Amino acid sequence: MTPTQPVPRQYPPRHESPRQHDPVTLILATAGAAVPAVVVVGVPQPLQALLAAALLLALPGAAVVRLLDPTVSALPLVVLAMAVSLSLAGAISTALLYAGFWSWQVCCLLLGVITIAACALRGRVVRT
Amino acid sequence: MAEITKAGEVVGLPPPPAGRWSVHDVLCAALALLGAVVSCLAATTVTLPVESDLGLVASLPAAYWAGLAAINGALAMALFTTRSRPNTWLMALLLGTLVLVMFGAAAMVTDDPRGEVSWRHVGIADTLQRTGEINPEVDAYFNWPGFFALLALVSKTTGVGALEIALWAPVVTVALWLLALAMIVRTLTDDPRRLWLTLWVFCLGNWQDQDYLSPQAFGFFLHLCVLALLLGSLRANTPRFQGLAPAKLLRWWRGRTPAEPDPRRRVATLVVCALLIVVVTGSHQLTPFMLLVAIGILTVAGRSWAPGLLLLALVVIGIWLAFPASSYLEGHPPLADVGLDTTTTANVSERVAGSPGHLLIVQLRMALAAGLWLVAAVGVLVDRRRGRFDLRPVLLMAAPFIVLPAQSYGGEMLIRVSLFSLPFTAYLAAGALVPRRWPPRSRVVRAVGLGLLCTALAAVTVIGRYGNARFDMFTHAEIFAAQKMYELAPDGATVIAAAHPTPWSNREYVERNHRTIKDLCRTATDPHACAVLIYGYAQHHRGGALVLMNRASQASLVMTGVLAPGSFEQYERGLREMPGTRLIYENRDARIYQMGAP
Repeated sequence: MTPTQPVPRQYPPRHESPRQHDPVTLILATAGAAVPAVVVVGVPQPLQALLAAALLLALPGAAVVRLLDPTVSALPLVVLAMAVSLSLAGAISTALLYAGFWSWQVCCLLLGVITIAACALRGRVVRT
Repeated sequence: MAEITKAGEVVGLPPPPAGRWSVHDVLCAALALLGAVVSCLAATTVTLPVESDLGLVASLPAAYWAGLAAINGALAMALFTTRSRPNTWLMALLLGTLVLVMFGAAAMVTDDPRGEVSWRHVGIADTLQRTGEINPEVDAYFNWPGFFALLALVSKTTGVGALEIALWAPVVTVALWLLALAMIVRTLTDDPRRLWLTLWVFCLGNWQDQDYLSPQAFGFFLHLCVLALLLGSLRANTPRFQGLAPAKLLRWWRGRTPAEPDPRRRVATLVVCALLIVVVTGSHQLTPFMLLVAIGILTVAGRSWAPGLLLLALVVIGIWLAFPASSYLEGHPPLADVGLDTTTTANVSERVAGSPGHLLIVQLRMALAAGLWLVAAVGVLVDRRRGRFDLRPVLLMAAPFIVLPAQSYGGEMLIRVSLFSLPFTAYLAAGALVPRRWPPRSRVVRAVGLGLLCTALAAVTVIGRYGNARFDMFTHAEIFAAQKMYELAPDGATVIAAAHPTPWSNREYVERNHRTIKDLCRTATDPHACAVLIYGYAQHHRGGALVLMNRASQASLVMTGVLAPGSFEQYERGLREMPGTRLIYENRDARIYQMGAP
């Protein structure tokens, strides 16, 4: 029997990579630097909860997924950004607990570092 | 007339309305929003405790059910009484109202999380926050701590208490599951009606109540994401199967081609899968095995272009069991209660017991699960007849059953199997409900039929989900008493509750010994013998014991048939008669006794 064949998507050829300075990457990188800092310093509720949710649920995952797959479409980007962000947050938190020096501030900063690194790498990949 | 092609596409339908809302769309949205408002307001009028063995259904006013019916009616209208494709934003709105009304009902009744397990999970995360380390000797949770480490981080970072997170966790969890499921369905069909119907049926069949704040809920989300990637970018196109002869098998295997032409995307997908598998493995005992079976079955069927993923999953699970989880496995071999007999006894025979009301709820849950599997089987036949049969959802629906005889999982294995099977059961069942031709001949009749069917399923699911509300929804009085117990307990004292349905363990999880009379008195034949056992146990602890006798525990013991009505009072009287025992706190729903104090 024939398995279902989704409509094939068009992918850009290698020489037509996404734009070098795409605004989303810049926004993600800026947020990756600013949000962890603000969250660690602390702001009044509900801003603290919203910013923390953005950091734990979206930023690192979105940066990593866009790095790994520049042509990812909207639904997979949203779902995988959340899955990868939560996974990274869980993995970092678990690793720090096993290492015996758990700190939520360190977790936040590491998530910020991953976000910035993924954005920087994406810029580098696009340039080459 | 449009037809659904072999590829599952609907040909000839007008394009989506591109953000424009027709009058029909606005009417559907208004009906669903009205239904949601009515249902939510009706749910807020319920007062605790729930007194019926039928659970929340006995307390929810008629307006709640009317609202639920309106939402399901709006769905049927949106899908079947229009000539155009469903409006994506409208369907998302309808689904959102359904999730809020079905899975947020308990949060509208009370401002405290439902179920003892949520409280326990909060206590584990609290322990990790306070100690900053993992002691695998404590219990199984500390051998699979990934989810609790995440919960500790979320709670600290957001500044929101874990108990508050637990209250709304079911709504958030189901929303995450639906997003991941939408990604899966998009890899299986391009028919938008089947996509939305699958998501809808998934909600309507979600009676398992596993969406509370738990490693299972988190693990299931990641499980769905891995499957979505496996069915998408890592899919293999297979040639026609020619037979089981080794040469033919080898030719068939080598004839596979990757569905994703870009190798960069395939590698990227593998990296994401690897991360998710590692996190799932460190977060939950059961989910990695379910994932392993699903990956394995797709690989063996030649539907996966990444057979290495199976090996990776095996290695990760093996390493985790050999090292981080070794403390737990030393005393609990994973295949200790293997066998279909053991599983059947623990999952069916022991569960189909209790008061008539409780029995009815259990039977309704089983009927719903069996009914959905039956509709899914019809869906398979319909798909075959229409030439759009796809083996993958059938395999993935069946895969969880392979794990069934391997573990009784504390009597919950059938529930978990049903949960892991549900996404593909829903997909196949939706296949039976989607009409072949579009627009169908009798749209109004179909819409009314679908509305009635969905309303009935929604009602049964709400009844099943909240069927234990008498003992898993706590009153303020018993919550206050449980928390008071920690304040009154002297250093070194153990805390004992009558049974597990107790809002406790959310603090001092490691510092205090938490036991239940139900567990301690397994060998006791009568109330006096049980009291003697408890008294002896209390004397073995430096600070003695504080015993909490609460309303929810009493209800659970009677409802599940462990105690006859009136026996609970005899057990409590037996405790009071022990030397030196005194009542140190009492309110409407709970009493605290101090025993064996120095």
